Amino acid sequence: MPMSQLSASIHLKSAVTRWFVVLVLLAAANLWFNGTVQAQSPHPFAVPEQTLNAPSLGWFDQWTGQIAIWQSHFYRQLTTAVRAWKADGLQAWWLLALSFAYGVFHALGPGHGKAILSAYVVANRETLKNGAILAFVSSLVQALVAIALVGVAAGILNVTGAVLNEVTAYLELIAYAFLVLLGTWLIYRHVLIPVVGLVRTKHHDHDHSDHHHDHHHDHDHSQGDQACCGHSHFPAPEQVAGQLSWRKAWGAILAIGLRPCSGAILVLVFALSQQFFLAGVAAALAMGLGTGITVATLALTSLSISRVVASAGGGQQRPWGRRIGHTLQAGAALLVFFFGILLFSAAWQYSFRLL
Amino acid sequence: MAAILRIGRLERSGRLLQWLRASLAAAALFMWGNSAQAHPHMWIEAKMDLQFDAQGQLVSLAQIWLFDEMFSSYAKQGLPETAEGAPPQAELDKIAQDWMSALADPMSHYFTTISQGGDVLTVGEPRGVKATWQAQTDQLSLRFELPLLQPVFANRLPVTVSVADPTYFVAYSFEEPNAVTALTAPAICRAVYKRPNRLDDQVAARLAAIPPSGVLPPDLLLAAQALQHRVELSCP
Repeated sequence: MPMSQLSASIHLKSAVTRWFVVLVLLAAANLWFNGTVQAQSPHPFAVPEQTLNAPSLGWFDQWTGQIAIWQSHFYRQLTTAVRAWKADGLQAWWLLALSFAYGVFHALGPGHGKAILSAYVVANRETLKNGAILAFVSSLVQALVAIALVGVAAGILNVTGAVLNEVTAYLELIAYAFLVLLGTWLIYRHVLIPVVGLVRTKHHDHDHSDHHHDHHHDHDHSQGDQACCGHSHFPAPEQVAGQLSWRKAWGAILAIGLRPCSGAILVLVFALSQQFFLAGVAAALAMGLGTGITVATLALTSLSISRVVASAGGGQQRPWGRRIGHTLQAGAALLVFFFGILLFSAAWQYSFRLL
Repeated sequence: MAAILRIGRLERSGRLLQWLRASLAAAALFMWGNSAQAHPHMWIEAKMDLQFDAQGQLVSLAQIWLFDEMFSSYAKQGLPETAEGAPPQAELDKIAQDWMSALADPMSHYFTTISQGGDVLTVGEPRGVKATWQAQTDQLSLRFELPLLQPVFANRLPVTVSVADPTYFVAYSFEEPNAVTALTAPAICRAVYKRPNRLDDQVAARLAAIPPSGVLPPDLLLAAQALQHRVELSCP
């Protein structure tokens, strides 16, 4: 079988070969997706808005349509609420509640944050607690990026909306580049190593005495951590109560958080125009909290589903449980990678038209 | 889920491409939906006036678009301000020119179509373009006229004006009193405004499935037209 022979002949021990594999994978995926991805041309009235024009499918439209109605309902009242707070400090709660609700529904609608985080926690088999922490931290970072961006660029440097659009486009491009790297790393750990390990164990004519790490057994996950981050004796995540590796997680946090939410930017700019930036900051943070709750819920749901599916095969102690578990991890790793390529290609094309 | 489970067979299958495609479909499913379509991000309160010459021919269409406060403040950001807190007219002129040249793109086409008996009437360069800052409400407005290259009589066949952003990024409303007028029209002419139908889910799903360059089947074309703000002008 040509595929197996090819895979078996790749010696992953060599760092050069590893990077070669990664680059070939990236190049192939990028070529393939460039044909399928379609970026929007900038709208005549451009505001920082997500650039991906993904195909929509069937009943999802009904769902997104309803979400959109609720989201617009809250968004339309934000300007009045900022004014009300400015006039009367006791009215602050109204803006905070509206912003929070907007955040909850905004995250339910189209967007990449929840999808990436869900896939990421499944790929890394994070604990539920870590999944929730990651969701809230990345949403908070997203709010802080919006506050910093508008505070510095608009508040201090007083740039125009067009410049804000450009900066947001750059941030988006960087965020998606992080996402591609994150996906590549996850694929390397959860697809390439297990697959090559599996092929090696089948081809006994190959010398595998020094390839212990590539074997497909139930500790390869923790060994991956070792290889990546220098942790020694890192226990399997299932046994860890809430140990979140920030060195591992920062890529995911940046991939989600670096791209500020358009609603937050707009409310911040509006608050600035009313000489009441504080209201914008509070609104952006409340939006971040709302987004965090939705993203956490969705991430925990996918994590729980993947656990149930894996335990249906007998859990980590049984061969089928392991196989299903690894398949889920591999699938999630691939999803992160594909989101990355999809979003990066769209943002790349968009920024060329915009800039 | 099928795409995820399929990965288990990867090492013995040569169906890499097929599997990539399935994964893309899963990714697309996950992204659920078209962001531009899903939610309007700006609101325009619009007004239009159908303009006639002395012979009673329709010669041009004037529109005034009043932008929502959020978008207005975003557009105003970074511009110098006069003592009254409004951007100087020179800056507003520049913004108006930028918008008009972007709106001239065939994809947008001023979000306006003028047609008679099914034929789209060609319009020339916009005239009377002016952006105004309304200090009382902190809102920007844009005024422009689209001249018809060939003025038409509306006596034999009614003229239809439709306004809509096909991407649903902008939500238009013509709800203000006197939002649609034909001030210079012959007395017999009537301009009737028809509010867009609410997009039903089935039509939304079918519309969304058609790529931007695709051709709409006749029934869907009718459904899509019903989504626009329409003004029927007739001079019987």
